[in-house]
Amino acid sequence: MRTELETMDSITNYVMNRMSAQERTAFENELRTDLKLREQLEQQLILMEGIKRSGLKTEIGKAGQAYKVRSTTKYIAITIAALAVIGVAMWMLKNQELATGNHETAGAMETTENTLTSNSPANYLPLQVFTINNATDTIIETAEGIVFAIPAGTYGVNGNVDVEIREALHATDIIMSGLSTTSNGEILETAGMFHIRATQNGKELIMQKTITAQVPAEEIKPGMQLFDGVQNADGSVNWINPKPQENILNTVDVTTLDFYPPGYLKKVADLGYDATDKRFTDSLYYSFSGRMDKSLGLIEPVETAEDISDEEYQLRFSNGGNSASMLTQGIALDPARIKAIWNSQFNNTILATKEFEERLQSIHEFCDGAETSDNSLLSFYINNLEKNLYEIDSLVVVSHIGEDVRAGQIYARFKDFCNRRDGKVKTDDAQVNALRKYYAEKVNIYQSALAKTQREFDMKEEQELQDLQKSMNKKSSERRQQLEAMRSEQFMKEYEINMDEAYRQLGKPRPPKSNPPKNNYLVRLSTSGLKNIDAYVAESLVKRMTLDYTDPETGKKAVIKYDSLNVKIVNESNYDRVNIYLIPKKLNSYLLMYKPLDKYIYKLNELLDYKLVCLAHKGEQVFIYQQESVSPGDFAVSLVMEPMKEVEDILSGCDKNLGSFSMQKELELIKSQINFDKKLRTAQKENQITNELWPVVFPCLVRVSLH
Amino acid sequence: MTDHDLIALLRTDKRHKAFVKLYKYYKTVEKHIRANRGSRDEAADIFQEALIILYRKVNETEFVLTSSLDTYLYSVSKFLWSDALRKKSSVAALNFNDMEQRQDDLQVEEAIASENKFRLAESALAQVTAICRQLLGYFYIDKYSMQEIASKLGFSSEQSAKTQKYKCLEKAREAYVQLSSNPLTQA
Repeated sequence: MRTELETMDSITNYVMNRMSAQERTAFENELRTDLKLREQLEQQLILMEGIKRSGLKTEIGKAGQAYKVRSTTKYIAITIAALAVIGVAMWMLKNQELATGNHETAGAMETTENTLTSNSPANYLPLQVFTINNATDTIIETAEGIVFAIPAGTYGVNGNVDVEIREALHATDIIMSGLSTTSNGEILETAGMFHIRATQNGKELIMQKTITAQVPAEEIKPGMQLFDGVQNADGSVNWINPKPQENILNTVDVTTLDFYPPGYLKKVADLGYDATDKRFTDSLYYSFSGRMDKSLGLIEPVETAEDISDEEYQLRFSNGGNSASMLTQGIALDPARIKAIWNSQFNNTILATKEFEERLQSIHEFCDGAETSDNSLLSFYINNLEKNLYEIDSLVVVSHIGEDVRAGQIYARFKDFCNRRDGKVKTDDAQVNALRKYYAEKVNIYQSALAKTQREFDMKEEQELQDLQKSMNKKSSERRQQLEAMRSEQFMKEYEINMDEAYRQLGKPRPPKSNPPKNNYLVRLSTSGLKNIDAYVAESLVKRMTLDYTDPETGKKAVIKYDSLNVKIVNESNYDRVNIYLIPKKLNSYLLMYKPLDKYIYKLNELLDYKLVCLAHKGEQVFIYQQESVSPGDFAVSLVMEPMKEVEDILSGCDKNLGSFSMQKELELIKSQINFDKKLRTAQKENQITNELWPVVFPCLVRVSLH
Repeated sequence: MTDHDLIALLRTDKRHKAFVKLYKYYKTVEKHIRANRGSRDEAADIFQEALIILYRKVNETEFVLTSSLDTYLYSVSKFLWSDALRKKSSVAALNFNDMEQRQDDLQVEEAIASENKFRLAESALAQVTAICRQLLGYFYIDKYSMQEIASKLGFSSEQSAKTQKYKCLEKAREAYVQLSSNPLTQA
């Protein structure tokens, strides 16, 4: 029998695989029969796994910790720093921004000895030595791509200086060298580390100027900070004294940025205008300042055009306003406010950055507050020109903690902006104050000026339209008067002609004092005697119906035929207006054919010779047709376009038969109608453009449009 | 990193890295556990257990990946939490409804059952002295020789270290036997 200790040893040797094949076979044979041994083996195996668990749990716990640190970003920091006490400030950049070289931060200066202690893990990093001339500005780039800009005189000595750099930008370098990424026990996420010192003839030099370093990074992570490294006695490094990174923004000429609402230029181009002409697009955009109703707020996008009746539309949108019940918070960004900032005055401020441009797009999108309100998004930026963009973003974020959808959207969008940690543009207080004043003054000036311009423009347009309408009405009334005068004259003359003819046919002399009726309503047909013939002639004339009279005394007949002329204009719907005239030559006047249904009709008197004249216009084009001596029947007319001069000549020709009347009156009316139509179309087009652009200029407003 | 890379990494001494990567699946697990009456801490514990089980599984010689790692972790977490809930109350209504019953559920349950034994062993080891745990760790995990262990832990001789190891193991085994016979500590 083995002792317990021996048994356990065998088990141990078995599980640790320390048995020879022979021993193993023997042990396994034993296991088949010895239940207790089997149980003990199992227990030992389980205990071994239990031991393993402790180690695993510690490891996984650490992994979980690392995960947590990363996910909360609470302690995320950049551990870029010189490894000694000296703090060389630096800035991390995206690779593509390296070339711009505009970013820099100030560095601190310390006189402490900057040599790495012998046990520093940084000693495992390869040493790169650059010999530079201290008298000139020097740019050096390390093997890993850190770019140092060392101004002339940084080291306060004459001649050449050896700059020693060690760098660890990648996780592998950092781990291999054993550099920690902890700051007072907290784990840091690092974007890289480096150590820099300079010597001349082996003697350490002190930095007297700020060196700028640009550290390449795949992506800019928010909250990265610059840490100083302090060497502990055991050579490990503690990272202390974190300094938030100052992200200095690149400014551009502010007029090269796009401050229009998103999609504005595209829409302008779609409407067929030159979107590349900034003077035009500007004035068009700014004109909306005058058009915008100050009470116009965010309209809930609940109704679509189909849901709203014409009457309702009129009610809500007449005079450009809308009912107060549709307002919620937010007021569309007044183009006058854009005008006040979109000029070279604001060059070299945060407003002259691509970063601000992006924010402005969102302000357009979400509706701004009123200029004076505490929640005006744009005002946050204008009033804080000296601050970091992300600080202003955060002001926007905290002022939009709210329940409603708009606040929620603003909160989320600007939180994203804030997380980008976009910095500032260096501006001095005097400049900032001056600009603020400038803006406040300009925005008022522009607002009233644009409103005035628009008002004046609208009034001028309205006035012009009214004038044209007046002139058209005048021509129309002149022409009507002429037509009426001609009609009574025509009646008299035609009556005389018919009477002469009737008496001739009856073979009787016409009584000398035959009074023609003053007008058609006075004709009485109930009288008898000789006057009867007069009455029949008058009746026939008024009704324009054939006279067929038999003299009761002589049995002789008097017949004057009236017969229909029906004129149809080919493709009449193609013309704006069509007028058809007949000129009965003997009557020295003309008359207007009228159109009860689809044809122009008139009953021709067989005793008269009529000339047919058709006049029409389509826009500014004039069409004419003339036909001498038309006879009764159906007549289809194809109009011919003629130059205005030609038309004038033709009508002058007609006037020869007209005595004191003139067909030029017809032409004058048509001309004034053309002018009015033209102006009206322009106004309608402008209105249409406004309607088309409206939702683009004020994207936060949903406007109901009618079709 | 693909699942295969992670598995390869879990089989090396750089498994730590793999664990960090695998934590990206934590949020989902946490979400579901919290949706099923669990706390954040409980979720963290469950996920840790799931990672341990995955680690063991991966290091079994016959291990074949039959599902993606996240599915596996999720599935293990589901069972672990359903076990935990059963222990917490008699109600075991679980609502991992977006999770289909998988063929390898049985395997998962087996793995959880053995892990429960190992966890019991861990508890048993917690009852022995710290020096015992260290000794056993050196011996079974780090596979140090008795002589090395003696010098590391300051035993006078290899033999006394051996005796010490025997005693420690015996104590742990006794504690384990006791724990496993107690129905309250049984899973």
